[in-house]
Amino acid sequence: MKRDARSAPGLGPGSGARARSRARSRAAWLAGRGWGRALLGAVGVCGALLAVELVARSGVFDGQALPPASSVLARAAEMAVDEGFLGDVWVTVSAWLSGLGLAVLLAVPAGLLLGSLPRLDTAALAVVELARPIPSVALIPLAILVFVEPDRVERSLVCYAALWPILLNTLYGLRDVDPVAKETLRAFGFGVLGVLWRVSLPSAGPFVVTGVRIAASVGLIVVVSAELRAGGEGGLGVYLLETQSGGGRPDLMVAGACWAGVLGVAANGGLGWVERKPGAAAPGPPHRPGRPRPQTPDGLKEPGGLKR
Amino acid sequence: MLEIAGLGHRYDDGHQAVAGVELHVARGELVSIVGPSGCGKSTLLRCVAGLQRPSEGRIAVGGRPVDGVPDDLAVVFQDYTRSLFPWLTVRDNVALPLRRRGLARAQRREQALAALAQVGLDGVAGKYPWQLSGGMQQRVAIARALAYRPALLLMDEPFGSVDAQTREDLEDLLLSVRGGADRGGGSEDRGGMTILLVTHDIDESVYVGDRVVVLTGAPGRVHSELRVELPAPRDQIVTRGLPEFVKLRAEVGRAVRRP
Amino acid sequence: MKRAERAERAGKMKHVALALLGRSWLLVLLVAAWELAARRAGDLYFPPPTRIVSAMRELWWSGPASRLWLSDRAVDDFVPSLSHLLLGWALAGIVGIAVGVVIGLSRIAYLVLDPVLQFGRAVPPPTLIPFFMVAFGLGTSMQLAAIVFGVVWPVLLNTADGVRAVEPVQLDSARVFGLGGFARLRYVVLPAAAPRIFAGLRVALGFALILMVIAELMGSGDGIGSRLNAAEREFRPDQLWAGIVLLGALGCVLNGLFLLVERKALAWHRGARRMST
Repeated sequence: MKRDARSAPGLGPGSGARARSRARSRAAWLAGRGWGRALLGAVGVCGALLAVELVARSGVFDGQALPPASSVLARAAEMAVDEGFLGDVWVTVSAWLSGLGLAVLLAVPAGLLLGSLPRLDTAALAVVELARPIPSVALIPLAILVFVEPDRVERSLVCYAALWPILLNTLYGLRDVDPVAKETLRAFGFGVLGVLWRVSLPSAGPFVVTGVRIAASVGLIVVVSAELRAGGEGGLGVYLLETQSGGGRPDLMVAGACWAGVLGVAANGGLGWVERKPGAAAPGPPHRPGRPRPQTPDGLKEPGGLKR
Repeated sequence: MLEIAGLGHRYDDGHQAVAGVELHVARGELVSIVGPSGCGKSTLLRCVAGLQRPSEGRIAVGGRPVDGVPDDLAVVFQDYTRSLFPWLTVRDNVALPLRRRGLARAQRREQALAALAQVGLDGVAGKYPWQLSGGMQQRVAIARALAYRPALLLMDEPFGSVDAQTREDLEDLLLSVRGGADRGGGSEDRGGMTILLVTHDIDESVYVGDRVVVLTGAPGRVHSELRVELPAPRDQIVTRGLPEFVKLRAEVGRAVRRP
Repeated sequence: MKRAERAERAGKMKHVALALLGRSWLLVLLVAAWELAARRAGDLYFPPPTRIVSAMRELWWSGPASRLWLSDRAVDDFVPSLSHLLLGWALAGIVGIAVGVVIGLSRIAYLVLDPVLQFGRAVPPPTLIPFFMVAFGLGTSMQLAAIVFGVVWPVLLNTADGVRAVEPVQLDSARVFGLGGFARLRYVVLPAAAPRIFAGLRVALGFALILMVIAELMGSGDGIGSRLNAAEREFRPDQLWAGIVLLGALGCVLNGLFLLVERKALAWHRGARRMST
């Protein structure tokens, strides 16, 4: 009964409605199958590409401004085998990942320390809440002055931007640890460290992974922004900027942005997979009902975005 | 008032919910539909309400075939917490459907307040539904249906999720407003409200109904119909004690249990 | 009687003061430590907080009292930045809600568009800034394009999610009582999805600030971002710090104002949730 509630017919009278409802039920049939869903998604991708192609060729935007989808795809394919571009991507990815890694190494122990000292915990949260609204890209000019070398600028900024989501999620995760589990372990004579290692960390694990996922997408934004502003030897942002200043080939720039999007999808997908995989990152108890959810930047309930 | 002929419905996943249902309801009648869970009672009601297009058969309300939600029809759902709108006050919940009636804002409010008074909910008009108890929320849902002044009122296990005492109160409320609906304005030539009540409670089906229709399980079809000739006004203690009531109840019970 | 009341009030105040102290002692300690350390070290790049505050006053708050002490420079910096930010945010909000509703209402539209949207969301918005610079030139439209593109996703995805989660029974009720498509949208779908829409808009506001800054850093004549550029050129770390603190405060204020509106608009939602738990 419920499953039909949304696509229920009866919106309009006559045979038109009947035909429409038949078309709907066919689409619903397709939507009920895995391959059908993939097909619909492919239709959407092709449709979007076609729409961009047509709009670009129709000349609604003057000449060069909007590149046709076909040429963007062609450029993107060429870039995939272009060593120069791959080198740029590698510079970006290594700065991104090393900044992220450093942030994990700093934020998780800091979170564990702060979170297990009850008085420090609230005070630390207040500091974090105050520092968090500062947009990390605002630090770019300062970081350029202080660090001078572009790759140090990028690494440090990624690390700074990634620090907060990981730290906050670790703190939230620790607040949520089941006190009964902790007390049980205490009763069996485990020390503070033992409890931390065996209960607190595993049960905060899913929160930490969510924090890392958010940090990864913020980090990607920051690393590209820093490259755009700080320049340097190489990197995706530097590539885009050079293309822009060297006459500005829109198809090349959009293709570059698309590759950045692929990086984003890969990071999100990979970490999202770790998050959903039961037991991998979270040997601790699963989500208890009524337990606060990890803080996601979109406020979305589930990591995959719209997926349910 | 309501004609159902050869009604059958099969869902997309192949589940046949109802098959070959025949039912005629006269104007002003209160018909209880009772049956075991999963016998397609709700599907039947959804088809009558025009929320769902049946795969076979014909439904007509007031002589007109159902294609979309009929005009003069209201529904009281079982799940009052979800059918009322939590972002509207009680009064606005009741008044919202009256937009369809082309009334001015002041008139809508006035009618809403009158309907709330009819179900004994004076003084909570300014509250939000979630501030009320379950029984009161279901009263609001009933008031919403009454204010709409429908010719046909469908009730889908309306008293299923309230406690026993409240349930009896709501049953009596239903019986009383049913009479009251004749007097309430609207078109004068119309008789009383016709009510179709789906329930899984055998006692209730007999207590409130003029007629009890028993459906049997998957796929649901009409098993039997019993006319209820209990004296009015009905009373929770007196009526339920009548030998006639006990006999009818036993008959319905047997019909429900027989495969 | 009076005395008991007074004692109670005093107790409450003491409680509040203690809670405030419990939250803020570390902050005060850190700022004090920073002040002392920075003064002792005398490092140009890390000025003490007092120096930052005085730089802020010198830059933006040296104007006449009639204008809330805002200097001319403050007006020149704040007005373009804030107007770009709010305009971009509002545009993205409108587009995001409109598209999100369509996707949320139709399962087919959702399945068709989901891959495209997921990819669009994953593209880091700054990577498109060079493209926008070529397409729109260096000006307001480039900045708006960057903000709208970056900010539309959380609104869109949250709206779609909220609309998809509307109770089927609520939709059925609306249909049974003869509410047409538009009335259903206006009185049922949008209010029901409002909590998620607001969540999306709040995230979007934070993103909008980030994109405003980066778009201004990438070169446009005015705004807080270009003030940061100037401070870097003139080698004034204290002014850079002033800009950073200002942007942080701006983020706090915007978020606070938004929460105020949200609280008012979603009072029913908080109440209903309190009741159900």
